[in-house]
Amino acid sequence: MTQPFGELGRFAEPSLYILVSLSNGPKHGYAIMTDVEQMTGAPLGPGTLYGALARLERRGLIEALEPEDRRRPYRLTGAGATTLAAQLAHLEGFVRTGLERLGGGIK
Amino acid sequence: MSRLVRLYPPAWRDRYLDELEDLLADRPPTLRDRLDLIRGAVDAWIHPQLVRRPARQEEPAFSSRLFAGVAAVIGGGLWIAGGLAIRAIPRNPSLGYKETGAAALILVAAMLVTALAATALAGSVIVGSRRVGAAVTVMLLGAMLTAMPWPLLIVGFFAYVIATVAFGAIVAASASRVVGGLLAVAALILTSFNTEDERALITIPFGLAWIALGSIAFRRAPAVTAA
Repeated sequence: MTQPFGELGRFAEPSLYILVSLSNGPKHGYAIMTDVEQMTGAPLGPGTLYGALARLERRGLIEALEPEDRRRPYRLTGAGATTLAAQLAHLEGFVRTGLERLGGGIK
Repeated sequence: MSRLVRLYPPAWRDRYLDELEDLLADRPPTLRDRLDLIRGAVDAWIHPQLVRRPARQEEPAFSSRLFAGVAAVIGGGLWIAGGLAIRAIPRNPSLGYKETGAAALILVAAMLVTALAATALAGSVIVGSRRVGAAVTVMLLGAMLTAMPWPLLIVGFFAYVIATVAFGAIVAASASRVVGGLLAVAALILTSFNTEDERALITIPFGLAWIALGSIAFRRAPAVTAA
């Protein structure tokens, strides 16, 4: 993971999942958790989820909306969308390179 | 709902407890979730600066802000009075330097009072940063050392000044760019303070910066969290 995710330590990967989850609209904690589980096949623990949410909020990549009952939705900020796009582009390049090399090795 | 959420720090619970409890009500925690909550609680204690103050939290008590503001204004006034008093003292021809005596004590008092003001500001108007805590601690210790004999006096003076520069920078970043910047710059200028010439008067801008800082405490605004 590159900056700013690299500094997030063990929260880097969950943070990326959360940003992707929020990229199609605001969601509250439980909705993010189930969405991430559907996307990745791996459950996101509640402690990890809120540790990552706090870090993303602190960095201005997401923002909390007004609570609905006790549920507080989060949404991606402009900075969050930019960071996510850059991160996905980086990963896309990484994947492409890996696949090209793998294809070359098979030949 | 899991009792494990009680392991989280109070500030964290103020901010996230409702939604986390709601989440756990929707999805009862597994053993793995419980271990994850414990790990998350440890992380929340280690990184308390991650928690923003909730919007519903009350603004700091007016008594705290009043004390901080009054102390800053009095401390600033003492800095100005001390500098003027030292400037007015004639040089002792037989010694070759000024006998500052009581005037120097005014400056020691100014340092102690402004350090107390900073401590009160750190607890009421500017909160939530380890750096602000460290800055006011060094400021207070430095001010106390200036009441000691040479060379502790000089060590204390520079510790106070450096900590005040840091404190001003924190204020600039979190509460008032103008006042914090003024305090930091005036503190830097104070390093060239000299009792023997006109440089005794550079306590005046420094004192004015403290008075301006005191005005922040009187504003009816919620506490701000230093970065």
